[in-house]
Amino acid sequence: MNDPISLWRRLQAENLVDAQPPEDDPSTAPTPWVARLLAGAAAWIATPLLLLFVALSMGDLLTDETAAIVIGALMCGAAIMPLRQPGGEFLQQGATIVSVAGIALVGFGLSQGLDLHSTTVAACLAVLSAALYALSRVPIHQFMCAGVLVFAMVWLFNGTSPERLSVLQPLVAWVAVLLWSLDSRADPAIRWHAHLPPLMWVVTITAVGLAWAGQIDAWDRVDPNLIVAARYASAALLPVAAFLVGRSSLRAGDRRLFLLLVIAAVVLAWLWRWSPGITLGIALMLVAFARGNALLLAFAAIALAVYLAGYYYEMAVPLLDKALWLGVAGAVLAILHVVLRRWPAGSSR
Amino acid sequence: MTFWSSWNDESAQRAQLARWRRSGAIDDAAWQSARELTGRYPSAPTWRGFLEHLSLWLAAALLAAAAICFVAANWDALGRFARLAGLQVALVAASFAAWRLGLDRPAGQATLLLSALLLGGLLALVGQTYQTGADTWQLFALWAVLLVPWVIAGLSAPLSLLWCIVLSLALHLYLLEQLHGERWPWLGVGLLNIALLVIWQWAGTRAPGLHGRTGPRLLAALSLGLLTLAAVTSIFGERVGVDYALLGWAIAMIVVVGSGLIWRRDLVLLALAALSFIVVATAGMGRALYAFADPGIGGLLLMALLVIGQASAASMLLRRLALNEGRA
Repeated sequence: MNDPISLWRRLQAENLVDAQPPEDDPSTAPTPWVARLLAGAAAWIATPLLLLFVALSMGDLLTDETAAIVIGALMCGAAIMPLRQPGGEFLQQGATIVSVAGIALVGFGLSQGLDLHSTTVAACLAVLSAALYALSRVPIHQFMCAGVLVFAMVWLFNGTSPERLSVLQPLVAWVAVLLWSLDSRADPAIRWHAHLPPLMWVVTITAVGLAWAGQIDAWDRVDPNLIVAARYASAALLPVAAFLVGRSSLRAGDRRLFLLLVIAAVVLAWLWRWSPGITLGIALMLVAFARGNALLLAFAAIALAVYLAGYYYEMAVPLLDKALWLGVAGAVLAILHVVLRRWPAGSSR
Repeated sequence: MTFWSSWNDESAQRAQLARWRRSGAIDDAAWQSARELTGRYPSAPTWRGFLEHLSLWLAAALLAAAAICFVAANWDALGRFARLAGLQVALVAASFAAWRLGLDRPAGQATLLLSALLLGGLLALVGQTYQTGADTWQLFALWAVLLVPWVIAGLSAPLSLLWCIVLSLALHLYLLEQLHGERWPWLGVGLLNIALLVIWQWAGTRAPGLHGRTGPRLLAALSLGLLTLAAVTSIFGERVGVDYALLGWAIAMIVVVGSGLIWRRDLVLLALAALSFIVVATAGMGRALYAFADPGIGGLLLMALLVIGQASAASMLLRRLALNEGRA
């Protein structure tokens, strides 16, 4: 019996609450993730249309980049009120699209008109998107602002060069996993708690994207020592994630299983130290499971499957070596499964 | 109770507590005590179930990938006979292990999936070794036909999905070879997957292994994705009017909406259908506006507003359905 009423009664029986269970208010009920996803996809379709409309409406003004910055800033400013106090779905969607189109116009104006260095443009966009993120209460708008923020930060880091990307990859992966792990311990009443998930999703998607980018041959030109250091840093994430997620719930319940999880994570991290997408995928799956997040679990599983498919085409590793590494890792996991099946549950502390 | 349903229950309980805490229905002291009362999430037995399944399915996937890489490596040090015999032995061993472990257990299902993948590897190896001259679509078609006993024996989501992918690949490659243009393969594979979706939903009511929602969702996503592409290409094609692509898309929409709304309520299917509708309706509106009227740049604003309106309506509908589902 785990429905809300039964849970409330359990709390009541323990004198933790005294009133009747709070009624579900349709206006404050959480939006299902599929509806958020749909809204996000629609925003991607509508934003270019609106941008094109604004650009064509400006006519000759389009050549005046200062006008683009002013109009973009006005659009961002006009959208703030409906984004802070979300009303109907239409207003939310419209405000999101106007705001994102505004950011794009400001970015265009800054990069084309004021003769600024690209890092200055990136810094300005990072500040603007961070401010809009903090002001907004609409998750899909926050997600899009976080996308601009992370992209600008990567640009600031000069992340387009393979050297920088190879360093950035483990860094972003660590941030993603730590954010999800720390967030699961925070008190939901803290104000930032409800507003963090869009940023965590963007960081996670970026981490996975960077791991996929590591499969491109261009990275072969990077200093081998740098690559080795980045790969080890990325691989270390798996045992740390296993320790973090197991420590809170598993260590107290079944210490033996906790130890087995950490040991298996160390072995797998060692075996897959050259393939950051696999260690990141498994680490994210562990975090998603510990956090009770089915969507993140599905995303991590898909990311892992896509990375494995890409691994087949990685030119740096001969096919026979790939067969060997895959076979050994598969055998280790099969042994782990047999051990888990046969090993009785350990005692709790 | 399986570890999956325990995990879902625990996650729902935790989410509910967090919602109450956020809305102020419970204070900090009650929040801390409630967490102690309901136990640590996920519980140790749930963790054990998850790790057992994760290690099992990852092991099966990695071992199958190892076999595929091994076949592709075409290792000279191993003779033709040794390579073929080695893979055949592995195939027989995996099938035997699946039977011994029992097909009603996850271990048996994972081993059966491994043997189904080894079958594909063996067919590829035969083609590679004897240079049979067969087209790639024939390899996939033969694999799909030979897989049927595996699918019937297993009646599980992973195996059935593998079969759907192999069959779709065979049809896609065949249509690509026989007909010119990308639209026909999109249309063919899209309609095939709609038919497979109907079969899956029907089979799901009879076979517990096919009862989950992942399979139908993936089939609907693939089908609607391809048919939406075909429909949009058709809308922006040279001829104006309804053609096979739009007809195919309309059939797919009816099936997916009917399946997600009436047959078995699923918000993901409805969201996929809504997104596909928004894309096709916006493309149609754009084409009609600029073909029959001259709205100028105002047409762009109109289309942006149309997208926002459709997305808002769909979002509201999904939210209402989710709320009703929660109350039911």
